[in-house]
Amino acid sequence: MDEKNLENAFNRLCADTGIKKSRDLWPQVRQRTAAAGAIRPSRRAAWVLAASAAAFVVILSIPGVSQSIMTRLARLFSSNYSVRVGGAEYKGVLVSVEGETRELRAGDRYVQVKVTSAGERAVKVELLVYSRDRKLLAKPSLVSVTGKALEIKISGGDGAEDFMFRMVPAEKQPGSYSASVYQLPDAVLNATDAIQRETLDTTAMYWAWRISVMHDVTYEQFEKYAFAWDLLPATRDLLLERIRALVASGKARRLDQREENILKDTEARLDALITSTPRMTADFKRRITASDEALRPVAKIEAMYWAWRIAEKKDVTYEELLKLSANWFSAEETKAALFRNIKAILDSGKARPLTAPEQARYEKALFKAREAGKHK
Amino acid sequence: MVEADLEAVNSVLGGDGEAFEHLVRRYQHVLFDLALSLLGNVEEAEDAVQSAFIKIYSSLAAFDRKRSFLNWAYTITLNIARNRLRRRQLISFIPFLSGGKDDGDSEYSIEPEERGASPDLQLSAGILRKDLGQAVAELPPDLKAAFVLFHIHRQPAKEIAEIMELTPNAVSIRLFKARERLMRNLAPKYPEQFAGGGPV
Repeated sequence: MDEKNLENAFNRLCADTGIKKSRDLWPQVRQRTAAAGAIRPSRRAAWVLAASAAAFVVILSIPGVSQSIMTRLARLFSSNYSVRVGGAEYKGVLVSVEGETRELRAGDRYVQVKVTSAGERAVKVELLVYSRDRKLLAKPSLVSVTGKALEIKISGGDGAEDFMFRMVPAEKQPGSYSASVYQLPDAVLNATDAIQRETLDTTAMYWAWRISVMHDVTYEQFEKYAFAWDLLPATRDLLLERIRALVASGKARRLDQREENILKDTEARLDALITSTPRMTADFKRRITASDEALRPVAKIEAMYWAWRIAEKKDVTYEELLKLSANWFSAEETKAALFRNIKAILDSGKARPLTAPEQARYEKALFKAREAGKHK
Repeated sequence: MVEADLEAVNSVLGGDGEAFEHLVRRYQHVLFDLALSLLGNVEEAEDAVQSAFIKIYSSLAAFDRKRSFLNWAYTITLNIARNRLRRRQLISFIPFLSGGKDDGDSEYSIEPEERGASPDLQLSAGILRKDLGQAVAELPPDLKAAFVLFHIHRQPAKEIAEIMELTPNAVSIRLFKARERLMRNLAPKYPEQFAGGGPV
């Protein structure tokens, strides 16, 4: 009997042999992982779940020098990158304004990346690599040329590769990124817009002076870069209109000391709002909103559920849940409202298990929220 | 990789430990079947699979997303089972097709091979499968693992190579050796099953 016939013979003999089933192992597995402190008690979708298509998550933006009103003609970088940690590889596109630090999460590592100009075609890429418990592991940096791949590798104590970061830094015109550039959450964007509206005339005068008197920037350049500013479209249009009017009238002039102080004060107020505020793409923002909307009708039930876990089941503390919620796929204001409700129930001492109908409604809403939050 | 697996992995890494339940419930039976065929003892196999899931959980951050989650889980289970075999010098005599229990209503009992066949045919099919199970149980662990993954779990040789961390050629050799040994064992009693040429 030849090899193929033998294979076929055993295919026939084993054709109806089913897989033998074990008893359900999940209760024991859950117990053992929980005993090791590994299982986290979350029912909420995490950021990574909703962003799974990208397999890489930008969870925090730390704006740097680019937020200064007077120096906001920064280059915008849109760079393909990949990170390899422990055999797993994460890929994506990192959009950042010059000098801006963006934080990424790859497996159990946090990586802060800063791209800055080092000449017309050269860029400097600086990394800060942290462990999950925020211990700084390495601080490498490299100067490279835009459009060329750069690679930063870190080895462990045994000499084996522990971490690899690869990036092709590329510069893009901000105007072409108006739809996909990382945006602030609506509430923060509205606040930054309101602040900038207060000093719109002063800002317009400053840029009109740069354009028509100093000639170190053209109106077209300014218009393109203004797309990256944290302004609502209507406010941006108004600013551009006023600059055009000032340039056309020949009335542009240098700001006096009082006006410069006003702008500096405005920058400080913007920094306070923007620093450490997570940013997201328009699509990400849309999905978060849809996910939150799906859970809005069961907000009180959800608060009761968590209050019960904290007060009666005691498998999570309020502080732990608060910490865990940092990664929940939800807007900050929604999470804040949820925690206010949880606190109110805990303070009143009325925490109780959900009734069966409440449980069913909550499960249904959670499912809808997860579906709404998925990357389509 | 199955999209649902990737989502579950991401979800666990994002802090939702209970998403691990999806992975355990989806794959516990196939992993158990493989472990049982190697260890030959239900309790031992269940414990090995539980240990495999704990190992998977604690190593999830290092999971290579280019691999299939199932293949990775198979590899870990296989390694744990091999270690246990080495450590305890277990010798498996349990027929892999009939499970580990002797009572007739066991969940591992033999299903009729052909529904509606005559009692005689059912009986002879059952005896053949029992003998086959006994013969497979006597194979060395690596030949047994390759055979079970290929003929019972229907995994292609290329996937088995990844699971067993071998070259596809090495897998083919193991499969060939396993079939040859089984044929030598079974052909004298069931010549009609192996008609079409002498032993290769």
